[in-house]
Amino acid sequence: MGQSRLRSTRDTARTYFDLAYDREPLEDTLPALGPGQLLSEQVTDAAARADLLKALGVAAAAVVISDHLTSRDLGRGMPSASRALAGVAVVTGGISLVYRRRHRDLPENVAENARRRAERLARNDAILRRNQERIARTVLVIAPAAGIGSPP
Amino acid sequence: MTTPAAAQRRIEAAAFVAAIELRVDPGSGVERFSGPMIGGEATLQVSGRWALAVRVGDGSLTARTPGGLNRDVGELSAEGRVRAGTELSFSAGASRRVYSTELARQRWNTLQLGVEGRLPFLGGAMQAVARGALLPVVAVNGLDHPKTAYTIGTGIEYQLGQGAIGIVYSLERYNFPAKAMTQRLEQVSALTVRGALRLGRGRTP
Repeated sequence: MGQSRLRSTRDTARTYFDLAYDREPLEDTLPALGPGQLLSEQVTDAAARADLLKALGVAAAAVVISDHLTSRDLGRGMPSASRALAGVAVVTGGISLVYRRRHRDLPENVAENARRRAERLARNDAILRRNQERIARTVLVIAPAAGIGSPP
Repeated sequence: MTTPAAAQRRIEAAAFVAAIELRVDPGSGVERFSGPMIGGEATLQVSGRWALAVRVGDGSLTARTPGGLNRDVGELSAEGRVRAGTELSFSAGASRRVYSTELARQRWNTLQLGVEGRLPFLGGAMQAVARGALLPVVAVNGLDHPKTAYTIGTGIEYQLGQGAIGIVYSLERYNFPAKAMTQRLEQVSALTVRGALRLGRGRTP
């Protein structure tokens, strides 16, 4: 609203402006690490059993090789040796199973997970820092709204 | 300063002792020989994936069947290996094996194409090993080429810091073509204990 200095009349005018923030787009921060992105920090029962199965597989393979892959005409090849290896494999698998159940922590995986979390945190900190810098550089743009003027 | 390539290039030295049994049927009945073999192996890891290995062995086989002649066995082999992932590798190589008796010397020259799988367990402290190879070329003096020739084995390897100890049971089979109603068959069984020491940085070949 305006008032004339010459005459005691008043008048009003309406003008539109566009107000806008001019700012670089902000980056998204990295999502939280999901289960598939972190290593297991403890030995599961399934993993312990899998170790036992691998050892039993070696034992079975040794027996199969000596008993079934040898020539029937020539006879079995050192069956006592294959049994010896099978015994070593079974004992190894048993020891592995017991050891894994008593020592479930996986310190290498814990350290690797910590490294991955720290890396994500550092990258997110960098993203936040860049975003704050962009926000600080935000410019308020005021411009007449195109096509909209005072009413007649 | 060590470059990444140089850091991966390292040598593994290994020694092995094996109990070997050789069974031969030249067409007139099974002859059996057994005895120890000792030897060594050097593996050069030339990159993260490629390795070259040379192996020598020497043994003495005693005849376990009447009429058999004791024989000495010597072997020299070389092969190249390439990794295909962390648990699988392929190899190609050549070997020369010589059986010597008081009367004759038999030379075996073979080419082999092999594959080896390793399944780690106990957090990588041990590995279950399975390997096999086809022997597409087997040249033996005085004999035809075998129509079937392969080797197969399995075992366990224990990692001990920069070293490793492994025990492997293996079988080699050779079926020669039948001639005059007889067929020559040979098979070699072995239980091998192998100790290895890594002399550089890098991964196991």
